[in-house]
Amino acid sequence: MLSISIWLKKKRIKQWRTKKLKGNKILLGCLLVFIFISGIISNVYALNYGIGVNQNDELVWKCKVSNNYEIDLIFGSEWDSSGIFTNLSRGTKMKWKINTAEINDTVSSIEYDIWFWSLKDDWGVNDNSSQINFFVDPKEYSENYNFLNFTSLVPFWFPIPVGEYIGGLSLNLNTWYDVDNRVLPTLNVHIPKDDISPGYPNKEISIIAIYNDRGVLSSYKLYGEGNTVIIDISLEDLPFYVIPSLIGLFIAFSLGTIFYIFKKKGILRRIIKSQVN
Amino acid sequence: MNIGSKFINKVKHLWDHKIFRVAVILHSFYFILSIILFFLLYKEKNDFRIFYDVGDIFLNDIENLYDQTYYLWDFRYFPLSALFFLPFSLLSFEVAFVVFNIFNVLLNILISIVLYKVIVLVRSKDHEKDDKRVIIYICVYLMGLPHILNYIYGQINLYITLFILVSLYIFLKYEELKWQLIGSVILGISIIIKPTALFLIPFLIVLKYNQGKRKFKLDFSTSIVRLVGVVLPVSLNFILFFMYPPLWEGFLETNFTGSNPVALNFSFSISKLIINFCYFFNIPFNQVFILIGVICIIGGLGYFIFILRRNDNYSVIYGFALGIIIMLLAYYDSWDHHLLNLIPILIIIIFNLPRNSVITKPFKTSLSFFSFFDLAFVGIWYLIYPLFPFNFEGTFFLLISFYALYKYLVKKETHQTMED
Repeated sequence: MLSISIWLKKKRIKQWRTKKLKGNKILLGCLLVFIFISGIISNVYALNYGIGVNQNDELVWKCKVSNNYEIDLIFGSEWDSSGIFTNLSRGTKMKWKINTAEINDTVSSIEYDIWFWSLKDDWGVNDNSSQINFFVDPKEYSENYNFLNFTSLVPFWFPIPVGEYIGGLSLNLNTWYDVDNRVLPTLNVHIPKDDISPGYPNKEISIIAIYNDRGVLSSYKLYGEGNTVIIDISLEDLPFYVIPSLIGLFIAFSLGTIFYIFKKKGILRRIIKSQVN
Repeated sequence: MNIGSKFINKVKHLWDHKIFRVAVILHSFYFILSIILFFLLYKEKNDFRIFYDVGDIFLNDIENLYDQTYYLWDFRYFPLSALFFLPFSLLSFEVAFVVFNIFNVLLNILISIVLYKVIVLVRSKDHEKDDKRVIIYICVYLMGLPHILNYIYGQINLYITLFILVSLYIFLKYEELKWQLIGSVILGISIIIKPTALFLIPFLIVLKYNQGKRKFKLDFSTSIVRLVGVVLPVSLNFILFFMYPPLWEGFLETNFTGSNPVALNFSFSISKLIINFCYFFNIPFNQVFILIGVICIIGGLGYFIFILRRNDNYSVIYGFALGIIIMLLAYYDSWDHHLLNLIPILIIIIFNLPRNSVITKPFKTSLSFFSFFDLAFVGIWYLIYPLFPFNFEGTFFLLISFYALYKYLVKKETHQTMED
């Protein structure tokens, strides 16, 4: 009888061990399959870049700061006679109207009408038309690439997802450019004096260009000596959720503060007590 | 009974607690979610990419370890940190990420064990004798939302947390000098991986100002041993700097010469809030001066609080808490996942303070904010940054904890109340 119970006990331990071993094997197998699959997924998955603006979209930028005297000193007096900065001064606005937005296997491009910087509210007939092209794959760009073909030294538009695109581009950009796409897709530029050509720029400059999720330049700040802002341009349209969210946050914060003060001073308790009485 | 079966039995026992089951399920969800989000969205924008690359560059082109053109974002840490990432660089990037995060899960298990051991060691006498409440708080740590970003970005905060907790446990458990040395060496290793614990170094000095006797008291031998211990591993980097001079230049350039203005982000450090303010209102600024100023003010205040403490019991816990809070308030980039370094220390403080102490309340409030709400404010920041680019809520709760530490350590009335 005793030997049977020992035998049964041994059998149960053996069964438990086999089950445990089997469980461990399954767990290990799952883990290996998981790692293996992640390797396969990575080969299948490839990032597709696109265009975040559509035909007939209108984009308006407003100039908040333009220290024309300082810019004359840095870039010479002709800086605002052509290109994207034509007629730039504080309070002026610039408009683009997208005519075409196309993408093929190698190039994504937009064509747009441009109304240069102006104080008038009536835009009238466009001043010019232009086009921006980008390789679909940012890694196509040659090493030490720069944006000297743009007067602003950074583009006003990029393909989307813009963070990933400029991240991919960062490996090929020259030393003036530093991409920070951790939070907001940002292109930081630092150009020492005389680095583009002798006397250009005449002082060292820095630029911070931030892009929105449509790939459009949402903020452009050009800094001169002593990190003073000499050009500040921003996209006029705010996303629809910004103001309601901000109001919501302030209401919640104010209510929270009032509730805390009431609670701390025992006002709530007194009110409840008086209601009960 | 071997360690494995002991561990399984313990887990079986813990499984009886509903909160533990919820914590395990939630934490597993964070892990799986992070892997999915990595493959869908965050593969190209990931901190782990830098750690992965650094191992490879350390192996093949060490002189260019600080050539930032090789990296997605700047690599700023000490050169020896690359050794920790070297094994991952041998795998493909995606597999390395998954394996790295499996390690992160294991680290969280270890952190929970060490956290439990520290709590049991320092728990105030009037706390419940059973472990129910300890389990609840450890589960709060495991359920914390900062784990999501930590997993998604493939971050290394958990290594730092584990090293900090282990060194804290050693400092608290053993008084002998050799153990003080071991504890500080472990802290030094954490600084090699990521310099988060750099601000903890001044708090290793056992210095106190006796307000009654108006005298400074310094435990010279313990302080020296701790300082030697923490500096020793960090100084190993200087062998590399000596062997490869470009490394030293690159390290200095990356960490200390960036005076250019920088753009907006949702960091909740005071330095970053000031930088965001200057950026937003076009005020000329130099980020290095802002950093130094904030370190001097917050760091100086924190150290004064530590020196003026009225109670010497478990002072190292409060020193560590001050050090981490100073780091989070002063350094430019304080993200949600960095809170994983602070949360366990706050839990330890809650258990070290008397059960019904009024001082516990601000720590509990901050703990729940950091664990469950801070991440939401990161989301809110994205909604409102064009008009209000300040993620100040985390700063507010860090300052509350800072003030609570001041109240506990320095204020006379607090100690009288507690003695009563």
